Amino acid sequence: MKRRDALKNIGLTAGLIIATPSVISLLNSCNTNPNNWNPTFLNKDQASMLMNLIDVIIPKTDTPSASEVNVVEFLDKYYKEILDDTRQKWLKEAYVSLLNLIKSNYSDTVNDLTEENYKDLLDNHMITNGESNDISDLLKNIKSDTIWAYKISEFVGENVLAYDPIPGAAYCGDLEELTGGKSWSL
Amino acid sequence: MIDQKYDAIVIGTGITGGWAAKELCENGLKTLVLERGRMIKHVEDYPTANLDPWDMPNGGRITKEIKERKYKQHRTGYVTDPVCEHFFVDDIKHPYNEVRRFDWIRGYHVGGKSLTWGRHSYRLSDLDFKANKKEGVAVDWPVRYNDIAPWYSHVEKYIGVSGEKLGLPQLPDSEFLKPLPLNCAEEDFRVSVAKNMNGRVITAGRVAHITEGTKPGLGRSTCQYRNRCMRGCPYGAYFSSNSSTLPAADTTGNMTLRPHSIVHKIIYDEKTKSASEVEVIDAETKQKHKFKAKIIFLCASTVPSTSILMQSTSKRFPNGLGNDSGELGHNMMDHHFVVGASAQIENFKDKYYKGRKPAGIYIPRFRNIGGDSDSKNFIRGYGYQGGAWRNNMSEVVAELKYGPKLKEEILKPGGWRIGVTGFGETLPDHSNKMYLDYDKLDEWGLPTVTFDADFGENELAMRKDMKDQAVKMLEAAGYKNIVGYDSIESRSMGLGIHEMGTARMGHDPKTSVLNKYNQIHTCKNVFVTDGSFMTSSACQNPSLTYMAFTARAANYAAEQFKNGNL
Repeated sequence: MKRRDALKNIGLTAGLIIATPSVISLLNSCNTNPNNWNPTFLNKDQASMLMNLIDVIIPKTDTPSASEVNVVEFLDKYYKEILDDTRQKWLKEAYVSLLNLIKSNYSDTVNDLTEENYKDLLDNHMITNGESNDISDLLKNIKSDTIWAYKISEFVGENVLAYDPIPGAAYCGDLEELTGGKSWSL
Repeated sequence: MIDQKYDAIVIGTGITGGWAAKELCENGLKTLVLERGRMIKHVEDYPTANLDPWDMPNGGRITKEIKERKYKQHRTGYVTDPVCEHFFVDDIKHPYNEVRRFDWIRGYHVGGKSLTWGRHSYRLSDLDFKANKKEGVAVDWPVRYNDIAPWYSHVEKYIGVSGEKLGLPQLPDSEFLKPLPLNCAEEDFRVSVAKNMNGRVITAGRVAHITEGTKPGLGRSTCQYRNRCMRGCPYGAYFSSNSSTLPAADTTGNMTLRPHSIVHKIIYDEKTKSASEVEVIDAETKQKHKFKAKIIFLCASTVPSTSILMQSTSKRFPNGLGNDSGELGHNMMDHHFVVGASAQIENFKDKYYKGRKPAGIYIPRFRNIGGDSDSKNFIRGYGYQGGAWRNNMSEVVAELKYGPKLKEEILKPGGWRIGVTGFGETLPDHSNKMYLDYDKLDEWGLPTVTFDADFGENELAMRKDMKDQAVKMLEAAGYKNIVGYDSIESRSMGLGIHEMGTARMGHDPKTSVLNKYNQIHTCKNVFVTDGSFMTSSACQNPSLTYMAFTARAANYAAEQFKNGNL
């Protein structure tokens, strides 16, 4: 929550939050680090793997990466507090299988995995056409959950997507003129 | 011990209780308004009204814990949402029983379900009021459209209903504020269906939202298009008891509002042949109280009102107050829905909308209104609600696995989709019922309700047509990937949250509970004006009708009171 407080303070002093490099670096400075954050659903290896994996899925560009808006912390809490027992059991097992696969294919030490390893994992084990399996289902699940969590983060919702909390009117118009081609966040 | 005497008592503060309170108080009657739940003050007790997804834990998703405590409320899939779940009851604290599944969705607090209602507001017509008589179904309504039309106007002018005048006999026009605009895809659908389906009408949903100007109450103003209605509206843009009728009643100085007051019995006085007082258990202290009044309005919503009448036994009424007919608790109805179709629209890729409208389109009943419209397979009819929208991300996302291109695409809107869902009339059937279980008591020692009801053959036959016609309209508009659906597992009663009919009106005390003024035939100082009075269900969303009948009954009661007849 420190990140959000920091952003809110910027909002107060600068009047408007925009995605400038200084904001991004501030995001970096307080994003989740598995070394000083204890996941409650995942184990440390799984959380560490997930943090690197989601930053391959949604990498840093001129806007933050997935981990920079705390998607890992969000998903760990979401798995624990939202999902039902059956789904939680499946996820636990699927994460174990995924870690086993990663260790046998790339490295025994999760922290040694490279960006290329994660791309290789997604290229070869996320099956978009054809019969799926638990590993592929988990990867697809991580992708869709990551996209969802990224888009409902405060920074993305208020600054990257088109944000309009009190529209005051309803009408149809040109997509570019209304939002510059972006989706509404609400 | 009698706590106090009043001219009138209103039981319940929802959409009808608020109206009864307002009309009685404005007529000068000292009125006690009893509510079983807690106080909800307009604006200040809407804790989630301004929250964005990132302001809530887990982005506002429903937690495992809420799903476990509210396992029946959760069958709707939306009333357990953290943005509004505080306006719905806990199923463990407030249990009920099912012989056949019944989704009983409840709001126990000041304002009741008027805070969370769907806000669609449609008049019934004589097609509806005459149908039972014409077809020999159940009993005849003791009321015709001309009796209630002025009261529809009375209510509409006060609450604010937006919509478009159409001049349809089966769906009379209201006193309208300007309609919600259709978006470009909805407008395309309207034009195409009219052109290709012999003038079939599609219009903006008629909803109780202020679309221009203001309305009386606690600062009620124009809709801001946030579509966060179920959280309570800080602008008072949609009608609720909390923003409108209760403040109006309060302003008169004649209202005493008492939350945490569970009414369980109305006492019948054999000497005066009328009800004399109500028995209340304080929900918090569990202390018992009695309150006396000359007039009692039962507005606790269909099932609780019926349940109170059933508990109100006496020597004269061993089977429940006013239940000489044996119809009390029977003829349970709800609208059947979750049947319709959706499709993809390929045009308008360069178009988008501003504002989040609180309602989309409405398709008025076109079946069994005479001539070619008549069906051989079922009687009565249905309407549709629906809308068109853009998916919240590009369809390309499905093909991409990772990287900057994926990131770019998740931020773009996807293509347009459109969907319509039918709402169909349910016939009254004596075998569809609720009753009390005195072996399973709640924490106040009161009997719990058991439901035994389901839809019948006419409804199932109607659903086939509801699905077929939904598909045909989307085809007529030239849309792609049309999918018709009929969600059988979601079609149990209650889900429409339009439960009604368990203390029906009629001409004859031998076959009905209430007369044409919503009075118990045989105990004339008790009026029942929530959904329990409905003699048939029609297919229109019913709240506007409940309000109109309540206003009419309350003014009638006040007149009788002043004339010394009550």
